[in-house]
Amino acid sequence: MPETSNTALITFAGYTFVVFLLAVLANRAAKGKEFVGEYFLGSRSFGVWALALTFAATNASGGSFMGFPARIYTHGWTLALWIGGYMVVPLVSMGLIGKRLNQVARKCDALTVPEVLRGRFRSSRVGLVATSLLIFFMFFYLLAQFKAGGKILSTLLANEPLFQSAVSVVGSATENIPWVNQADPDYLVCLLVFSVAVIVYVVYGGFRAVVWTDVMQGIVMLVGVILMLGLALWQVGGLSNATRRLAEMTPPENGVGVVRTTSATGSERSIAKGTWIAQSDGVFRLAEEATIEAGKQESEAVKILKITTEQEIVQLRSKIEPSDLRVRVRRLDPYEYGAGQKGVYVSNPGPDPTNSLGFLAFGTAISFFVFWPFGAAGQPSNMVRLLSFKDTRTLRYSIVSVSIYYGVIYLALIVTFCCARVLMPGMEIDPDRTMPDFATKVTVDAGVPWLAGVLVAAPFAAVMSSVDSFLLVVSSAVVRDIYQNEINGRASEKRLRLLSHVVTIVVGFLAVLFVLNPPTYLQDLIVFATGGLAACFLIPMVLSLYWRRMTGEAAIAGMLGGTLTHLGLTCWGYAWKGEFQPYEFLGLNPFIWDLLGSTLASVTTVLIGPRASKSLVDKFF
Amino acid sequence: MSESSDSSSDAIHSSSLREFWWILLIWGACFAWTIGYCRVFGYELDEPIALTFGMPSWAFWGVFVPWGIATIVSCWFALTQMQDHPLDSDATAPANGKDSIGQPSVAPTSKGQDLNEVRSEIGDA
Repeated sequence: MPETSNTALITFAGYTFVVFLLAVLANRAAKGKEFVGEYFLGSRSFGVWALALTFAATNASGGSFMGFPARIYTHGWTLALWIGGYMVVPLVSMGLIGKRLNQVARKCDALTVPEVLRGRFRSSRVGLVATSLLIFFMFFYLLAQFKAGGKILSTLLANEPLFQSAVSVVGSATENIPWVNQADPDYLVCLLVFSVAVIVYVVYGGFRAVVWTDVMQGIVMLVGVILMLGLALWQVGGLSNATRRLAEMTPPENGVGVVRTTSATGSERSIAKGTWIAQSDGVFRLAEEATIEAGKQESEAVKILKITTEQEIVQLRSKIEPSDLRVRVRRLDPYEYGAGQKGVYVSNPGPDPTNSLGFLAFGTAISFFVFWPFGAAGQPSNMVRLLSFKDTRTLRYSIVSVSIYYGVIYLALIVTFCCARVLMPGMEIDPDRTMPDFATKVTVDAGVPWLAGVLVAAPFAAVMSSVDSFLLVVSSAVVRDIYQNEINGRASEKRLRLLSHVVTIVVGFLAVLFVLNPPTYLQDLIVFATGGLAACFLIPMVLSLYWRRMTGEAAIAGMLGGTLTHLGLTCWGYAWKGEFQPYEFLGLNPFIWDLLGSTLASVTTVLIGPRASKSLVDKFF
Repeated sequence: MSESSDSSSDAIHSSSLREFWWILLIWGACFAWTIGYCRVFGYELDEPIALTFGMPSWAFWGVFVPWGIATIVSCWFALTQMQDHPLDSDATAPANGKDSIGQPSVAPTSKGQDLNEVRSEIGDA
């Protein structure tokens, strides 16, 4: 599919050019304004579209366009219920605290979330605890998003000749550099390109550039999703047809087997990952590359996928070219839930390869309906956006815009990738490729391969819009909350400008260095960081804004209470399952227990601790 | 939407708090509808799946319909029920130049000055 890859490269180049252009314009717009306020908060001047789209784009990270489609593909219609909590995300995450948070931040002249808490209680200790926890959790998040950026780009450019040349050059140039040489060269190239692009435009344009690029990225995502929905429905023959065929499907079986050839080869023979092999006892797809050494007839054991749905088997047999290859099955692992059952893709809890309760047990469904809206409300990167709007009218109209935006995006994604499950079998071997591969398939089949570039730009835009925001949140925590508030309150603007740029670059560089060899449990770390941030900040912030009796001590207790509950359940889960996953007490997501822990710690401290300062109550209430 | 020219902390706090409880109520209603409906009609279906507008009926009535209604309610709430207020802290300062505890209200000339005042207050405490 070379034409598609060329398109992806051209799209990426054009896209990056526009991003830099916006950064230059943002830099010009910032001229003459107080630096720190402009760099970290855009001088609190954003209107409806800027606030709405930066909020929407920051929330819709790479997970929405890579992980979510992969899950829909793997588990079917149950993902509609899984994501259902998003129906109230805009109202809850923006309306619950937006107006009051913005007002209190203005009263404290606060530019960051820790600074709001610090100013609300006139307490350095509160600010320092908040800053420390924010940096701790946020850094994990930043790592994950940088990794996602590198991965998505390498997926998009995989077949581009120019890219492959760059990969071989970088691969040979770095083969003797410790730590760096452990990364795959293609991932390394993409990570470097992605990181340099993001860091440069964030440093040059600051928060204003981040918001303006978010607006563009938000539009790209919307256009991409709508186009893909139309193409998918057209090619599958309507949604009814897709759902009926989905209802007849049974989950495939993962396994291990060896690839045999009927004739010994004189030279080594590689059989690519994704190769289809049809034989009398079934249709198989290789989940990893198999190599048959010279003079042998059999490969080492490799991972395979066996298709079990009758109609798919018939279709695939007619399409697969006859070959001399055969699969000798060593082991097959049916799904823990849903194996051999028709209808599992169109009902809850959905099929699952490893969980005997299915993908979405009822307790999990409850948990996610709580987690999405309240988890979003507790994210500091969202709270920062609530500090930046210029008036309450902007907030109200942004809630309207984001509500409609999310409705379109998420419902369209569900329908599109249920169609993908029908149109494109065997993606279980690499579910994260579902989105780019499906974009390629529907555009090529429709005779418009150039359109693939627009579609695959959507996940890239999503990751970029999240990375830039998180980068700025971490930088602001260091420059504003630690240096300016605790070390040198009289620092000159020139020094703050230099420091802000240096910190943004250093934080970005450190993140890149870490994700050259990402830890095994990185995906779990994302979940850990997301839940941890919301558990740490939501309850203390809500009580600080609305409860007169709230004190600085109680805010610290709430932050630590949420964090410790989160850490405790994570450690318990690790001890219980031997995996980096929190323990789900009573089958509920740990986030619910974290919130309870945080609330209990805050309220108890208020009730038994010193009374709130009258001057603070008078100032803020 | 009602517009209030009252920019005092108390007015914004009161209206924000009222909106806070309404938002929680709307979330609760969506939760009850979606989780309740899907639990009864969407789990472990034995019979042939019923379709509505091409999707499983439980997904249409349990997720898509409440999602549509939640979007409409969110828009209605934001446009008509949330109050507008001036947010600028300057606007909240009383006209007589005194702050709410009777001290002369002094606008800080720079961030550093403001922070040093805060620091000295912390030190005093």
